[in-house]
Amino acid sequence: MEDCKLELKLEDKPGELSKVLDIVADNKGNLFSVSHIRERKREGYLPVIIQFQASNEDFNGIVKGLEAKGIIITEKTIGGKEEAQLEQEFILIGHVIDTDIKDTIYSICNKDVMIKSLDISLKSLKDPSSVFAEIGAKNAKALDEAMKKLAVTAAKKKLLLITGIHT
Amino acid sequence: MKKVRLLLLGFGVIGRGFAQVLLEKSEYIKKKHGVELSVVGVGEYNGCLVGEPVGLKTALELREKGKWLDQHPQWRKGMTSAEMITLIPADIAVEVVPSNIKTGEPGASLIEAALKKGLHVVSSDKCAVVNKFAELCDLASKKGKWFLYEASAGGGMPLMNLARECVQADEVKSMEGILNGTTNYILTKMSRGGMDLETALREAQELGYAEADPTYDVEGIDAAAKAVILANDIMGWKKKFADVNITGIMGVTKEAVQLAKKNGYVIKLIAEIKENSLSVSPKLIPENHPLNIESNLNAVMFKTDIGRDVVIIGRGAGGRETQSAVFSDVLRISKDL
Repeated sequence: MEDCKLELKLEDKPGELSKVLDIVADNKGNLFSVSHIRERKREGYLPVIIQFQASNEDFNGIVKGLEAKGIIITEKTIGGKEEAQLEQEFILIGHVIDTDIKDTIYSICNKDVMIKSLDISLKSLKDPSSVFAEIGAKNAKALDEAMKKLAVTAAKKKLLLITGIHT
Repeated sequence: MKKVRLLLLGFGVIGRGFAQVLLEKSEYIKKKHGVELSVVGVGEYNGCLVGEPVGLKTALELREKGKWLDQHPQWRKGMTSAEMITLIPADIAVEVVPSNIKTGEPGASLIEAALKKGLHVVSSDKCAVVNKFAELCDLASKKGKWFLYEASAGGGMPLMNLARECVQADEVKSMEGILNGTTNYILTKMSRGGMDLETALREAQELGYAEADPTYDVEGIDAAAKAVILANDIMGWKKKFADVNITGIMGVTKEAVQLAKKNGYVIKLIAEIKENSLSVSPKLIPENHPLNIESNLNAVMFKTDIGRDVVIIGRGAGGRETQSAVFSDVLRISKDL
C-alpha cells in the first residue's frame, strides 16, 4: 500500500464530494483526509485534496474512475512521488483572434503540455481581444520551452503576453 | 549635542519636503539621536541661500505664496550649487535635484563635487544614481566618505537599509515588486473600478499621482531605473539602465484586467531582479499574493536564503514620505561623524 494524494477541482455543489469518496472506496482506497481549500474557490470550482492509501493498481483505478466521471485532477502523488502538473497562466492582448488563435495557443501543446482552460474577452471585432489561458505541463523543462515558444509567437504577432509572476 | 551642517541641493518637491520635516522633527531628532541638524546652504538653479542656519521657514513660506527664493534675505544671486559646495563648510550634502534619466545630470556632477570636497552625500536622485552608480561609489570609497541613496529607489520604503542592516547574514537571492505608484494606481482603478487606462490615468493626474507627461511611469522607465539601483546595491551587480528588459502598461486593456480578475488574478507592473537579469513588465498576480497591494502603494518581496520571503510595503514617492529614507541616511551618517 502506498500513501496517495490527489488534488481535485470540484464543482461547489452538493453530492460532488460523495461521488469522489465512492470511487475511492469502490477501488479499495483507505481514505484518511479530505481538505477543502475554500479561499482558492474560482468560477464555482473548489480545490479539494484527498489523501488515502492504495496499491499502485488501485490508485490507477481511482484516477480512471474520477476522470470517467469528468472530475478534474490537478495533482497526483503516489508513494511520495509527485505526478503533479505544473501550471502556468497567461494573458494575451491584441488581435489574438485575427492572428489565428489556434496557431498561437495550441502550437505550444504536445504530449507534455496541455491547455487546461481558455477564456476570451472580445469587445468588438475591430478592437483588440484578450485571452486568459491556463496550461499544464508534466515537467519544468516542458513548461519553460512552451512559454519561450509562446513569447516568440506573441512577439511575432505583436501581441502583449502577460505571464504569471513565478515564470 | 553633535551639530551636523547640511547643504540642501535642490528646493523642489523633495527639497521642500526635507525642509518641512526638519522644521517639524528637529527637536525629536535632537532628543532621540543627540544630533542637531542645521542647513547652512540651499542650492537652487539661479542662486543659493546661505546662512547659519538658513531660514527654512521663510523659504517655505515664499514658495507657498508662489514666490521665488530670490526674495529671501539670505539669497546669494548667481551662486551656483557647485560654488556653494566649494565655498560653504558643511558635513553632508543632501542632493535632491530632479536629474535627466539619460545623463544623470545635473545631480551626478553635484554629488561628485561634494564627494571631492570631502562631504558625505545623501541622494534621492535616481537618475544620478542609476547613471553614475559605479563611479560615484568608487569616488566615495576613495575619499572615505558615505554615499547613501535609500530614497532613490522605493521612496519611503527601507529597502537598501533593510538589506544592509536587518538581514545581514542572509543572501538576497531575488527581488520582485511594484516600484511605481502611478501605474499601480492606474491598474488598481482598472481592476476595482472597471476603468479603462486613459480614464484611470487622467484621474491619477488630477490627484497629482501622475505627471502631465506620464511617459516615465506608464512606459516602465521609472521602475526600471529603481530596479537597476536595487540590483547594483543589494545584489552587487554592475547593471546599467539599458540592461533592463522593459514593457510598460500602455498595451493593457480594461478587458484583459477584467478577464484576469474573473480568473482570480490582478495585473501589476512588476520589476523582477533575479538570475542576473532585470525586467519590468505587466504580470499576473494571484489575488491573495502579498504583492497585490492597492492604490499608489509600492511593495517589494525579497527572497533570501535564511529568512525566505520578506515583503516591504510603503509609499514609493511623495515629498514628505520620501523624507523617511532621506533622514534615515542623514542620521546614519551623522552618528558616524
